[in-house]
Amino acid sequence: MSIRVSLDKLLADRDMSLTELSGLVGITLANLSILKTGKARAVRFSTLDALCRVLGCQPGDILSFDVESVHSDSGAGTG
Amino acid sequence: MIFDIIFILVAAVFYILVSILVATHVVPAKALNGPHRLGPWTVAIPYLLYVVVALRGALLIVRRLQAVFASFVANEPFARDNATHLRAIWVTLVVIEITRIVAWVFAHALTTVFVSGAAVAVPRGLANPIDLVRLFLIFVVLILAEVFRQGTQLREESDLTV
Repeated sequence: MSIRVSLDKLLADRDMSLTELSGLVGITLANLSILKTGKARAVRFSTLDALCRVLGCQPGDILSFDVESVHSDSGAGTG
Repeated sequence: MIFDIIFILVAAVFYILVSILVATHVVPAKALNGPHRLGPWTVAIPYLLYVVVALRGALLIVRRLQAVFASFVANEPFARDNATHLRAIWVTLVVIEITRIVAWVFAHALTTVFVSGAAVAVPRGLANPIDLVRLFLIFVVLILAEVFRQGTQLREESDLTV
């Protein structure tokens, strides 16, 4: 998967912990952890909406596409 | 694993012993003609081989089904192992059916060579080479295994959707 999640950087900039974010967005800590560690297979728009509202950012600040990993992956299937 | 080895050894010894006793007429073949009507030794010996394989397969299927039902009780019907269990079940059913067909071929070949003339009693399990009901059952379990495999994938996708 070449989609990168920059949640830890955003949390560090706002001096916020994952537990605090979990309480504010109404998503379980386990699910946020899945998202933060890049294990998530899909993200709902409602989740993205809640994160952007609480963190005061754009979806592009949270998610990015890693071009270099696409070139280095050979024959990687869809996730 | 140890249970498998013991079962195979015991079954092999039993099978070889009975085959020898029947083939050398120490035990008359008609002694095997209880309510199950095994027929002459040319039929009884292949049938016994099929019975041993079928028994072993049945034990394996029961163990796999126990694991599947345990996952249902735990409220996890699409547990990762269930597709594997169901695949093992249909493969076991195929092996049993192939053994049955091989036993049928041997029974008829041996009977043709060694037993001339009269009609020979054949157990129900060896009556027909192709049993459509069994083949249909195998097909149903195969499809069920595929359904569970895809269901497991969908569940994992859902679990990893945030």
